Formats: sequence, structure tokens, C-alpha cells
Amino acid sequence: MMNDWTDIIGEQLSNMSGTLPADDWKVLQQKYSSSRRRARRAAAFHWAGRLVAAAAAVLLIIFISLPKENTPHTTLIAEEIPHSHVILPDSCTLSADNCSLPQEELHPHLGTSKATESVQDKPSGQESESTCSTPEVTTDMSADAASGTISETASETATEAVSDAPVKIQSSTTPEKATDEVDKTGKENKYLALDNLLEEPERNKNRRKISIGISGAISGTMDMGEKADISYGSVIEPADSSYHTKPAASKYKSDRYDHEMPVSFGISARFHLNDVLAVSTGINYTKYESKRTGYIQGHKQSSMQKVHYIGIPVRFDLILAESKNLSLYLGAGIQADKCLWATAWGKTIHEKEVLWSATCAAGLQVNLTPSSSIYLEPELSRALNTGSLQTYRSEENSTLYMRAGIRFTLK
Amino acid sequence: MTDVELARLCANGDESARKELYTRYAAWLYALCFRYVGDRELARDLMHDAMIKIFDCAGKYQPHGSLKSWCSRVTVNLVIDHLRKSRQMDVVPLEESVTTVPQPDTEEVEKIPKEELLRMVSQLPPTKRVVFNLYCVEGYSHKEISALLNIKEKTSSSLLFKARGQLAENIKEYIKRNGL
Repeated sequence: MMNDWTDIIGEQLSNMSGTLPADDWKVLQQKYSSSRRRARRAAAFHWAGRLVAAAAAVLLIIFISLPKENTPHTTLIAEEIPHSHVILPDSCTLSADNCSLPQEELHPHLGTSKATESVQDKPSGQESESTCSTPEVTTDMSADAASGTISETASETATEAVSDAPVKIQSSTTPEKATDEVDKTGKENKYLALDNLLEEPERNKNRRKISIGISGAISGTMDMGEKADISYGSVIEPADSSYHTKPAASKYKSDRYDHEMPVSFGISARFHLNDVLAVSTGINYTKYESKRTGYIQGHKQSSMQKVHYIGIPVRFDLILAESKNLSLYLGAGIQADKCLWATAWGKTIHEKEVLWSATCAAGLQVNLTPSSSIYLEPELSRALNTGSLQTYRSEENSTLYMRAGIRFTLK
Repeated sequence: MTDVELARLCANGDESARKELYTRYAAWLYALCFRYVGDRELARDLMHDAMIKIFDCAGKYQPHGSLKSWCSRVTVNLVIDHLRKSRQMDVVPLEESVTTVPQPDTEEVEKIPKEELLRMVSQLPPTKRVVFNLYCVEGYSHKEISALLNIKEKTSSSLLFKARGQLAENIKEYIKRNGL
């Protein structure tokens, strides 16, 4: 038969055993312990990331479901708010459609400067005239200090006729001290002061706010399968491998890599474009460390490969929810990394290529003081290119970083 | 201790069970790794990696086959993964010319020591070595090999043919050199 002699080879080799050194079991035990520690660290990292994500989701839900505060227009009307009587001619009919009086004149207490000036300019008891096509209606604006509301009552029923008769505005102040104040200050705008009691919503309060941050990060693999237990990779050394020390007899055919989890530190600057959008950039330093083992003719030699990258990230952050003490945001951007220096086998090796990656992050910021805060950012980084050096990045396309830091608000 | 019991104890972290598993199969798995990679230290490291994976995944062993064959499959997958990452699994193009070599006799092959046969096989180019080991030693079919290595069945057949031809040459040379 055609396969007879190969069958014999197969049969002989399939039952063949090798000879292992006496301490091989101890070596295996040590490797297993190390592998378990690495797997536990990766699992802890993964669970921490999931907990942070869950906590962020819960906080976001809480923020969204919190009841909103009362609008400032309904709060705190001072007792001094004068009554304002708008006397309309008999022929006027009060209706929303044909009333040409501006709102400020009808409701002088909800002050604009125009309204307050018009009231101010008319001392107590005087009447002013304005043209109105509405019918005669007297509205009595009164401030109820107890309830803090403004109520408007029509003292007369409007007639249907419309005329151009002038409308008399009679302003009066009930408390005496209001009159005294007007007399005392003269041009002082009491109602501007009253306006200040009304809380206008702060729009774009974060605009142009700048923050400086310092952060550190550790990373872990996204793959929690078997690969996480034994992380290794190999590469065939190029023919002109002048960047590592070669044994005297011959060069290595292949290296085996055991990658450590990369660590990263950085400083960042964050600029708020408006209340919900911010752009951040900065400088990140990342170190990749790997144990390289070369095999040749039954011998092996190991060396630590260390690669240091400096990177510039640019990221846009969308602030999802913000309160006095907490802030939740999502970010997306890119980062460019350049190798500063790298060493292996006692010599310097080179990585000329700029490495690009796309990043997305979720952030939780806790304000310690009005100008300082701490933040936690799980960040997912997807490598867009890997470069020529074999590092953790070339093994794992997606890396999860757990970044934590301190942020200081400059203005 | 039966295979099922041994696997169950290993999965539970029993140190003595793991020592027993190591004693039974470590040397054999070491030889298996050496057949595929051709380097003793690398074979030993890969055997350690395989044992670690076997300890962690012992709970997944099903008693459809023997524990030895299950360990063999785990190890073969790990070794092939290593070779793939090290880019040693570049497939030889089909256009490579093949010279027909006279096939050795079975009696001639039986005279050759096992260690010499092992050395000859380990010196084959990586891809041919893997296909020869999978087909002739492990008993995989071309269909299974093509699925495992992500190649065509025709490519697997071609690689096996070339591996046989190279081995036949080496055997002929050895016989001629040693006067067998």
C-alpha cells in the first residue's frame, strides 16, 4: 500500500516520549502560579470595568429621573413690588389679540428695564397715557408676598368695542417704605434690585471653562477567553536583525513574547465649548513591557523588551448629566503615539511608524471643591495600525484602560 | 484512577491529581510538541503552556474519547496557534516543482531508530511538518486539516505529498550513509 512506510513512522512517533529534566514539575508549578495571578488580575480588571460601567449607568438613570427644580419666575417676590393699574378706556375690549400694549407695561413686576423705567419715571399717584386699542379693562397686578405669586384680576368686564382711546396707567405702591426708597435713591432702580432676586437660568455657564488634569491608567485585555491565561506571541527575526544581540553561533529563528499589561500616565487640558460639549487634549505616556525568549539549537535566552510611547490624544466629550457634585460624560476621539525609545537584548531598537488608535470613554467626575475634582474613565482603545515592534498592542487590537485622575478648573 | 475522575479532580484544583496527570502525559506531550516545532526548549515551554491550559480546562473533558487524546488535541491546537502567530505557517505555493523520489521499503524504515525518525520529521519545513504530523501521526483527515489550518484540502494533499517526498530522500540518505 502507498502509505505503508509513513504508517510505520506515524506509529513509532505517536508512542514516543521525551525525557524531561528532574525539576520540570517545579518549573511548571511556578509557571502555573504566575499564570493564575495574571488571570486573577485580568478578571479583577474586567469586573472593575463592569462595575464602573454599571455604576455610571445607574447614576445616569438617577440623574435623568430626578425632578427638576421650580422655575425661578415663581419664587420670591418682595413685598415692595408695587401695584400697577392699567386703566383701559371703556371702548376697549381686553383680549390677547387686539391688545397692543407690550407685556412689560401690562406686567411691570416681571421687570425689564423698559418696564421698570416706565414705572420708575412715574411717581406714585401719577398717571401715564398710552395708546391702546383694547377695550376698557382695569387690571390690578398685586403681589402676594405670602404666596410669592403674581395674580391678575380683571375688575371690569371688557366691552367689545375697540377704540383708540388712551389707556391710563396708574401705578401705586402700597407700602410706604417703597415710596421712601424711590424718594431717597432717586434714579436708583429699585426694580433692578428686585430683578436680581429673580433667578434667571444660567445658560452656558460652563462655556470657556478650562480644566487641567493629571491621570494614570492600567489596561487589560478585552478577551476573557483562554488567550488571557497565556499571552504570548512570536515573530521571526528579520534577516538583518541588527537590533539585538545574537548568539555567537547563529541568530534566533523566532522569539516568544510574554506581554505585560501596559501602563499609561498623562496630563490633559479640557476646554468646554458649551454646557454639553467639551474638547480635551494632552500628552500620554505609555510603556509596553514584554519578555522575549529566543530558541536556538536546544538553548533559550530571555530578555526584557521595553517600549516607551508618547501620545497626543484629541477627544470630544459629551456631558450627559451634571450636578453640583457629579458629572457624567461620554467621549470619543483619536490618539497618535510615537515611540520615544525601545530596548531589547541590551540594545536600542526602533519603531519609526506613528501609531494611531481610536478611543471612546465613559467618565464619572466627582467634584471635591468648586475648582478640583477626581474622575474615573474606563476607556476603550482600538488600534488602527500596529507598527513593526511586537508588543501588547500588536497582540490585542482592543485594549481597555481604566484611567483615573485629578482635574483642576482654571476658570 | 479513571480518566473522568482524574479530570474532575484536576478541575477542582487537586494538586496530587495534577501531579498524576503530569506524570502520565507530560513526557509524551513534550515529544509531540518537539515533532511540531523542532526545538527542545521551545517544545518544553509549549508543553508547559499546554499543561496549564489542560489544568484550567479539565472540567471541559467529555468521556467520549480518552483523556490522552483530549490532551493531545489541546496541545496540537496550542502549538499550531503558536506557529501561526510566529508566521511559520506560510503556505507553500502549489506551483512548486515536485521531483518523484523512490519510496523506501517498510523493512528499511523499521530499522531506523525512533530518535532519528523524530529528527527527520522535525527538520521538515514548518507547514509540511505540521501537515505530516497531523495526517500520519495524529490521524487527521485532509478535511480536518484544512479546517484547522484554514487551507484547502488540495493544498493539504499537496503539502503531504511534498513532505513524504522529502522524508523519503532523508531516509534514503540515512540508509546509504549507515549501510542499512
